[in-house]
Amino acid sequence: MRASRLLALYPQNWRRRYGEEIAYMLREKRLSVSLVVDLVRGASDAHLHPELAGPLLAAAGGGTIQVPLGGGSMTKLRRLHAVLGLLCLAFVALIVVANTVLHTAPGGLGYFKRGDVAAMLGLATVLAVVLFWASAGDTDRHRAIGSIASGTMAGLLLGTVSIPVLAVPLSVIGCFRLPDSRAARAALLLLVPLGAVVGVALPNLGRSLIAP
Amino acid sequence: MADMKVSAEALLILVSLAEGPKHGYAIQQDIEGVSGRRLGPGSLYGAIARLVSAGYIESLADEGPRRPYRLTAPGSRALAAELDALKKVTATGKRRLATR
Repeated sequence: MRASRLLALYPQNWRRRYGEEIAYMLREKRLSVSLVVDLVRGASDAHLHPELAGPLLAAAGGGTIQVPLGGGSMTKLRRLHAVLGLLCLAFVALIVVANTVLHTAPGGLGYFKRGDVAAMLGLATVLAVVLFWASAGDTDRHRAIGSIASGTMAGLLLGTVSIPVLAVPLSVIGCFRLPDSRAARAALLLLVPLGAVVGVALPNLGRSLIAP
Repeated sequence: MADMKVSAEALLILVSLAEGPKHGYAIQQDIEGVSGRRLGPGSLYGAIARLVSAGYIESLADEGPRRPYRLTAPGSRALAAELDALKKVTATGKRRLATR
């Protein structure tokens, strides 16, 4: 595999601004662990700070008109939604692994039941999609739905006693640290507990509907 | 343009460009020669993007794989301030080591 293929990990505006230069540096490079780590770290940084490479631009019509999207920068709240979306995907992977590799191994965890698995897999997948959608926009609707999904995710984690350690920092970050305005903090203080109730209720509902 | 705290990578890039305009690959080679440290492309362009965003360096051409960068006047001032601070830290460290 050519090292320059890892450029695909960078966001579009970074590739447009610096892609040619980075590709030039990678032109005869052999793929190594240190190079992969460096590029993955650089790509993560680029996704967290897309504004450093200039505005996000999308070609329109014949490619001659360029339209800025989302003001060219990612707000802290949108970044939080993107990170939570990734955590949801990690949660899906955890559930799958816990119910395949670990569950069938001698002395395996055997924690999840069928109803729990179906409900949590479905909810985590939906949450991931909603959170990624929320992170892609900067309207009031994106912020509100993203906040509800964040709270629901916190509730899902709270309801899953195996990893409660994640729920507390997420709730604290979501309520106090990231939104800039007092109104947004107040809204989150209401939305996160509301979402938490939904998150705790849904797996139980799923269990009662699906489990024998 | 904004004041920024200069990272170790950014400082090395500023030092490299103090000699004159260079493109990314030349900056990487120069830094390796001066400090023995090889910056990967991910780290290098992350620091370059921050320095451009802060107005400390600027590109001389619009496009191309060998786009040169040069130090700006605010970049020169920032570099001088960082080097002064480092000089003070170095002198203090040496003095304290000597009294051990």
